[in-house]
Amino acid sequence: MQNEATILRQLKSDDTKELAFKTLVELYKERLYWHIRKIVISHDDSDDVLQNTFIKIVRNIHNFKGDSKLFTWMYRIATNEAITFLNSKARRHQISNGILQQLALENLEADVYFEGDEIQLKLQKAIAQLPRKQQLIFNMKYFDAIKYKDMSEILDTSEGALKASYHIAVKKIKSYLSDN
Amino acid sequence: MTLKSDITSGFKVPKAYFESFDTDFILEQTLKQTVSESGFKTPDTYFEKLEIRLPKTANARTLQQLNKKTTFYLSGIAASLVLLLVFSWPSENLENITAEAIENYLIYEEIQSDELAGFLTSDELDDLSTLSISASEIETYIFENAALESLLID
Repeated sequence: MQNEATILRQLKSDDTKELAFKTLVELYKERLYWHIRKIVISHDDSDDVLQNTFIKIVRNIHNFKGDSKLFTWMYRIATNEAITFLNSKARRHQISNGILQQLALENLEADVYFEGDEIQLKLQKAIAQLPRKQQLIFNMKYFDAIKYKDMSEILDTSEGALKASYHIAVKKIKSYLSDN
Repeated sequence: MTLKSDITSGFKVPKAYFESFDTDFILEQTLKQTVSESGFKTPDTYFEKLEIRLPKTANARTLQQLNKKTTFYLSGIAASLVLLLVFSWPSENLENITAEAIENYLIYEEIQSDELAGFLTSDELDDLSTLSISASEIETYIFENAALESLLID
């Protein structure tokens, strides 16, 4: 597998960037998709956001300074794209983000691309109770096992704050599941 | 050959590391015993067939870097917007103003350009009137300052 430095160098060269971009998509499409999916819930919306994320990545690769890992930089773009998407959708429907998420969860029960059982549906509802940023932290750590160090670069938050937030999130979710 | 039992590696861990590790690990593991998967799935062969449809211009496009003057004015406009919102909501603290509230404000309050202009001097306004900012420059500026959005979301 090519390392990040090689891909980055190839992406910045006109001769190799097309192939390098394909490699990048192959390497990261699934991880970025699942990250986005847990934020926007619906598959079709996730597909749109994933497309936009890769377009932003290729458009802005020249601005990537290498201060962080390429992988965390891309996660950061994906996170921003997903949140911007949700904000725009809520604004378009003239509803709050909370109501939008509530509607997404209601649709989830009939979603052909959700095969979760009752407890998994409850878990999604429990996650929805958390503040937006805590949802991101929980999803990244619980499902994707992203290291706090990397998460710190993605969310621009200290590792200590992330650990504390995750700890609280897990407790809230356990409490929600036992009460409902 | 036996190792001396009093030799230590010199490594150390943060205070109370093992205590908090145990607590966090056990807490997480007990939840995972109840539920560990999200339940989401994709259409069959979604990832195999996935193609990123790049706009024709995106591939060949070379983004212009923002020049200092453009950055200065865009920063000024952004700062003016924040100041306007702060002074328009005297009863609110800045940290209590959510991104959603700012968006709604911008949508529904019909901010006039002369309100924004009130924050700039006449010289700055003269310079601004001759300033040409392309859509790509604005997009790049917003992209590079995505942390602004993260702060507002907090």
